[in-house]
Amino acid sequence: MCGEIINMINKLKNLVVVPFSLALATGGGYQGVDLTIQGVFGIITGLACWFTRLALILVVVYIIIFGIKFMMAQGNPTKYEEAKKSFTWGLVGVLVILGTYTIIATIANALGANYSLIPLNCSGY
Amino acid sequence: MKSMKKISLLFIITLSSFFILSNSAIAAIVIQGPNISPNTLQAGKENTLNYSFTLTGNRDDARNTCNKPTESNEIYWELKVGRAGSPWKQVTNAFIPFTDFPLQNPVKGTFRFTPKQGDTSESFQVVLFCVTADEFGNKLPSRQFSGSGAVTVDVVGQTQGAAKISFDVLQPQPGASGVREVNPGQSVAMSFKLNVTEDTSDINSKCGQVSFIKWVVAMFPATQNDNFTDNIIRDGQIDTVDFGTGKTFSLDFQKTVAALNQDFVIKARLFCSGSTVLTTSQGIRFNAGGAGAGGGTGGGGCDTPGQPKCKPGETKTYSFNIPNPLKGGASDFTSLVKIIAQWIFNLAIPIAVAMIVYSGILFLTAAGEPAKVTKAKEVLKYAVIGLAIILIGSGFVTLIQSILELGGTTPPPAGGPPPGPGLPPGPGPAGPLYGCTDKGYCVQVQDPNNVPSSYTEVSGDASCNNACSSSGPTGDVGSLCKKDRDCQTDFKCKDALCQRANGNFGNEPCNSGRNCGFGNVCDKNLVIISDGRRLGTCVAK
Repeated sequence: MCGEIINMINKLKNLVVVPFSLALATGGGYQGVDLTIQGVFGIITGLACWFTRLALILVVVYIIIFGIKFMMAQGNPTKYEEAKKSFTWGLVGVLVILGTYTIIATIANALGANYSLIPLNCSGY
Repeated sequence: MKSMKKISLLFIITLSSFFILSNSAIAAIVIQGPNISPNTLQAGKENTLNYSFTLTGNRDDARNTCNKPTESNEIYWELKVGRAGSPWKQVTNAFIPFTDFPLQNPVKGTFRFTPKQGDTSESFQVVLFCVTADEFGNKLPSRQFSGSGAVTVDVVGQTQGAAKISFDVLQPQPGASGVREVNPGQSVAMSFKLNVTEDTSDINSKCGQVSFIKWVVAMFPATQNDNFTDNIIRDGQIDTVDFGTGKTFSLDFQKTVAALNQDFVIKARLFCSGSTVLTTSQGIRFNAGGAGAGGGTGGGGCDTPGQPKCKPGETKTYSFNIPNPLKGGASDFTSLVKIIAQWIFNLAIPIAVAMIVYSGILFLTAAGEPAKVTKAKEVLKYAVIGLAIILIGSGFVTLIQSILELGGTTPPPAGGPPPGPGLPPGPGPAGPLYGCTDKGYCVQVQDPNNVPSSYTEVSGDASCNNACSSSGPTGDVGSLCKKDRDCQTDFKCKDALCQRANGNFGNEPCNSGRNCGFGNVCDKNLVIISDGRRLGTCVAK
């Protein structure tokens, strides 16, 4: 009895669902996105923007990790030295990541190139 | 199987009886009206109209209608306007709490409404909705449960035909046969005359409230329909207010036009700021490559425009042209390479950013391990070297050239220094000479002081330096520049244009809004020719 009712409800469901899925399948022309050679620039810029954001997240994560390393050293000289070394090089990394635009602008100016463009405009990506 | 049928039958009966019961329980809220007064609308202007309608029904009726758990104790009404085939638009609306029912007075008020251009009547309708409040407490009309009949109001006072456009081609004049003859694909120096007559109120009635109207002069094959998008010869706009109660604007201009490969027509058309057409001029027909008509005047091959048909055995000349498929406008190999190089340069900059950031990440994750730190240093070093090579780019060519010349004097740029306006054609460098027409077009001439009446416009050519510059000396406001040092003292180079330190003043040239001072924008329609470039003008916002 109960099974029959469920069966009936399922049939009703199918009746309702099928026309909708048909409409979805037949709607629109070709599948996919228009891609042009000019679009490649957008893709590369988007990847670079994504990568920069990832780096900024990593900066935060690694600074926390360095802090934990200092704590775990517990005054042990070898471990402390190791933590200090990682932290120093980590700071260099942070400087390089945050100073990307400065590096590019410095090189451009040093070479006297006409440099009015911003290397990466991430507002649209 | 039998039992299933029984159950389903029972199911349906219960359901339908439930619906009948619940339907009969709702004493509906009934709309009477709406009444709209006055019962005519004036075309082309804003009308103030009064509306009134009554809603009958008591508090319980309202409560029974909007009784879903999500619905709040209010109903929403909306007065809409529309006509067949287009979506209805809301004119005015309000919420009424259930507690106000039964309503003692009709709902009334006023609204302002401008009929759409071309409408002869407008329809109004009142609809009622239940109200749902979202999680922020905003009230939203959620479910329409009733609607009145449509009330139609006539629109009167349409004005007709004030827009007038007269258009003529002064040069070239029609030949003896009365038709203008050109060779297919050939560049023809043309001179145009355009008169636009309009009336601000007529524009408002046809276009709605727009601040300007557009005009377009375009050419298209004679065998095809009017096409004002593909081959635009020139276009522009006129501020609506400038027309007042009727005024004519005249414009004479010259342009070198490449003839189509078949007979074509040049027409002018007035648009509302969108795509609505106000009026179209008569067409000026050109024969290009059609059968030659009229008597031969000697010279040239047979069967070309204006020449008799070929006789057997005579040499027949065919002319054709291959259109440039490159949209970037590259006309020779060097500019093609330049476009490709620019594209690769654009790609390279984000990659450089990514590489520097990558080396930063390597430093970060190295945790002091010498091998990893070394790798990070290498990545950074080569990223910087690569970037330097990219930025030097074409500079390498000049570098190698200068090395090969071993300290000799720097060669003058190709073509020699461009002559300024009015410079006599002396025994100077053997480059082309440029002059400026009275219309501000830069042209290539024999004598810059004596510009002939027929010429080829080369305003887009950067080598047409200073010939049409509104500001004489090099490095003045509006001059072409690559760096600040190309401009005069205190001026800056921005968007390849010399500008004042805090942006240019009004009536001074600009390439983009960035060149203009505070409160000014760059109007590209007010063309200033400077250093062979067509620049815009800084104007107050």
